Amino acid sequence: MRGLAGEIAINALPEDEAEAEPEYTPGSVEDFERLYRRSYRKILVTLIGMLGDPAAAEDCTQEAFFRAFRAWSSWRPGAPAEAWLHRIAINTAVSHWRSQRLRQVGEIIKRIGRPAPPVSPATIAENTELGKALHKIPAKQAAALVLRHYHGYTNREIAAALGIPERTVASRLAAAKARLKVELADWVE
Amino acid sequence: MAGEPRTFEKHLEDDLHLLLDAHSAGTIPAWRMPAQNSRRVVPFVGGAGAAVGAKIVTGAAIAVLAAGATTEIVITHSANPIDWARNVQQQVQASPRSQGGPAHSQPTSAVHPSASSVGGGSPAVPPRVSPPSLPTVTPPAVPSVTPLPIPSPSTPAVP
Repeated sequence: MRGLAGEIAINALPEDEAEAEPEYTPGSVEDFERLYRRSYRKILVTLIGMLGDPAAAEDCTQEAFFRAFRAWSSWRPGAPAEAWLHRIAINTAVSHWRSQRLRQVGEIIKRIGRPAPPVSPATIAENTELGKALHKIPAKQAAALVLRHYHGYTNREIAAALGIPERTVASRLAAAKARLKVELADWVE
Repeated sequence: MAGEPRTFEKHLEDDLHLLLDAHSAGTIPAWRMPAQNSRRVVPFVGGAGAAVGAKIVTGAAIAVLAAGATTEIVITHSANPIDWARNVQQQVQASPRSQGGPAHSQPTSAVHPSASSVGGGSPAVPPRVSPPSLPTVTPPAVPSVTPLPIPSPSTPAVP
């Protein structure tokens, strides 16, 4: 506990919350805090995989939880809460990714002829081969890859979470892998 | 090659764990509940809405002016606004009312109900009111003034 009113700091999930997804009541502040504690890390890791920048991913995760909290009273108990959160978070990250791309294009145009600035140490995801490769593919494809190959969701679960057809998930995964194979040619050899 | 996809996917999963596991064990920041009514209000005045609104109003005004000018050009066959004014003046002078002819419709007075009661049971038609003709004013003749004689210094002053 931090001691500040209205704030809770948690460093580890309680054992009972590490099991199956509990039932939540829409609009309940206590239930939303449980959902936050339970799913924060999953969401953050997905967004780091998408964006390659932990700081930006943290900002987007917080923004996603704010958006989710505003819509919490309209959440339907039948739908998986984590999947619902993932959809909000991925949409938030995709918006951020697009604005970042636009900004990068503007910066490239501005610094034509000048040397590129040094890589920020915060973007540690870019310092690995996979991190760099993930940063080059579209954010939605990166999200599908992380959900499938890191979290271990099935294509059907990903489709349900993102509200897209299962075939779209499969095609995003196939496109992402094809691009990664080109970027990471050393792996296949 | 049958084993290639499995190898690639295995490699992908291993590297994803290497890349992301460190972040999945971090501290969860405190949940700060957003304040009530903290929705962002996009200001309409002063923003893009105001710019679009100003453009619409300006466009409508220009369209009205252009339509009016086109109508006058068609009627007068002239692009000179002085001709348009002359045409309007001619039409006003040629109208039946300005010539003293019968008017097609007479407005009924709602302000002075007594005006409609003139004539007993006759329909309430107010009498035509012609503006009184302005009297011609002749300026009075300026009287001729004979200058007074200047008193000489020997004349005693009037007390």
